[in-house]
Amino acid sequence: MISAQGLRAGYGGEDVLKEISFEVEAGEFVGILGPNAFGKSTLVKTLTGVLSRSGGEAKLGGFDPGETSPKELARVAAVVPQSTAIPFPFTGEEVVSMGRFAHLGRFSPPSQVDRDAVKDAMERTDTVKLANRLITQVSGGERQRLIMARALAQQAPLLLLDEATAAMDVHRKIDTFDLLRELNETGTTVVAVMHDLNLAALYCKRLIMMRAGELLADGATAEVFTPAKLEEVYDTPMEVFTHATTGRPHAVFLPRRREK
Amino acid sequence: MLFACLVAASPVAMAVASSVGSSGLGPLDLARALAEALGFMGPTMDEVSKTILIDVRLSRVVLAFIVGGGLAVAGVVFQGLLLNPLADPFTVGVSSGAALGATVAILMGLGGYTMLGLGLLPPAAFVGALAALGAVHYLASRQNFAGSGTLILAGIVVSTTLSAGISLLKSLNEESVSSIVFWIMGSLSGRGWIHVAFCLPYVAVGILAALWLGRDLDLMALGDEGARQLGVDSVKVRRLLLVSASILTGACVAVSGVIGFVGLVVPHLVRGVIGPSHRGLVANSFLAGGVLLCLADALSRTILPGGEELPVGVVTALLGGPFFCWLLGRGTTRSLAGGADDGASR
Repeated sequence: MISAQGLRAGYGGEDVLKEISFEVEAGEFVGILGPNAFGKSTLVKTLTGVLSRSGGEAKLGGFDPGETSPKELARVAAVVPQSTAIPFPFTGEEVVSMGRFAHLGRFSPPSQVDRDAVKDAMERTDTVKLANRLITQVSGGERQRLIMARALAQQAPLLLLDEATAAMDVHRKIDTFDLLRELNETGTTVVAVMHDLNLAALYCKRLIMMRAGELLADGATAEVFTPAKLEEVYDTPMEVFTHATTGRPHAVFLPRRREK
Repeated sequence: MLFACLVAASPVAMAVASSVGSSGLGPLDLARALAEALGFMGPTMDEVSKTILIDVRLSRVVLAFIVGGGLAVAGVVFQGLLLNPLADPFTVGVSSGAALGATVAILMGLGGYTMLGLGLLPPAAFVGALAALGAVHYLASRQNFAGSGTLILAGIVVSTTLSAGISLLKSLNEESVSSIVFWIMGSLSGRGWIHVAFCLPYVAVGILAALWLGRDLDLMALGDEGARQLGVDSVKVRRLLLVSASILTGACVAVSGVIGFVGLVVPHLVRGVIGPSHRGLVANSFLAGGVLLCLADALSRTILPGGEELPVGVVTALLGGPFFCWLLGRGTTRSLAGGADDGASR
């Protein structure tokens, strides 16, 4: 679904991504981890054609993002962005319906297929009761769920999430990732840029770790979610143990100075 | 619903506006004059009354409708693209740019020329509009668009400077102060069918473009990046729509001078009733803007005793200024700046 070979991109001649190479196959559930300013937004922007790359190769669902129409790309990959501000008072349902843009003709009204996609997306994200609320008046977490619904309504085979659950409460985070896992089990490829290490370890089958525009680790979660790797990426002492209930690795950050 | 009301209100407003004036001719006379002009009735009216009704009043009213509608649609597009509720052709400086462009063209003696049947004044105004928009955009982007205030601040700075430039140019060419005031405040005084023919094609093109790209414009509310990720070719759409709105503004300003606030007030009122979807917003705002300016123009013709005319921009500013203050006071602008949390992560 995604292929990057020696991918470089940045702003004003300065590369933020420095020769990144990785492949994501259809059906994977990948988390991308790293501290702030490691180039994750740049990566998402470059893969979706918002930013043109300065070197290397990139493919999204087989399409070159630099040469493919936005409409075509939007049918391949749905992005759940970090910033979700919408300044005009659209209703929740109108916002979710925006996900159908790439499937609609210029003047054609939404078909039954479009309406079903919107309805299904809203049911799965528990946003049906937000259908008639104004997007300018819902909470940050509710807005993120509507944006999530919008991406689902796009019905693309690849979901790219950029810190998509940052403003959600814990139970909504879990709801969202349970939903992502369910989608993944039915064939959707999920790639999520994340800050929450333990959430990533809990759900992602594979982790890519980045720092300062470079790839530091890439592999099955159990293999790369180790104290050594995490300390290298985050520059912070860590301990990792296997959680008794979930059976997944769990990281604990240690203070640099012990309490006296 | 609203659309049906506006469609019905439009001819009524035009008839009412055509029926007021100093010569005591009313709506019945207008109906008769129209019927005669279209050949439904034999000539029973005197030529003077007919000329007053059709060539003086009706033409002016039709022009007011087109200009009001055009400015309102330009306002819809500017607000939608710049994600700013305070944006309109006047507050982002585009109207003044257009007025300067038209002024320069008139002083160069191009005012009466046409090319392929289209007036040259609107293109000149369009160039001025684009230049002003470029300047405002540049100034605001230097501040990273920090809040919606920056853009409007830049717009008002550019607008004021350009207005002063217009006044200076006109004064140097020994024009009377009153003609300068009528140009800077906007007026439809002495306009006729020729001006309708002058601006109509440009206004039509601008409105069709806004309707054509209406759905894209809805998604532009998500910002360029978000819109693109949903399938909108946002760079192209932004460019096309900014040009369309500038053409609209240029055409309107070229025939009427700078009429403020129509493009600000109308989109808000319409959005409040039908919601923010742009196709409906464009169609309804055109009609509502038309109705508003027809009536404002009628008021400007009749409000002063003794047959003196007021620039119509005075009337629209008296209506729009307080509305602008109310918008600022209500704090809608804060929700529009995207909220502090999202602004930072952009």
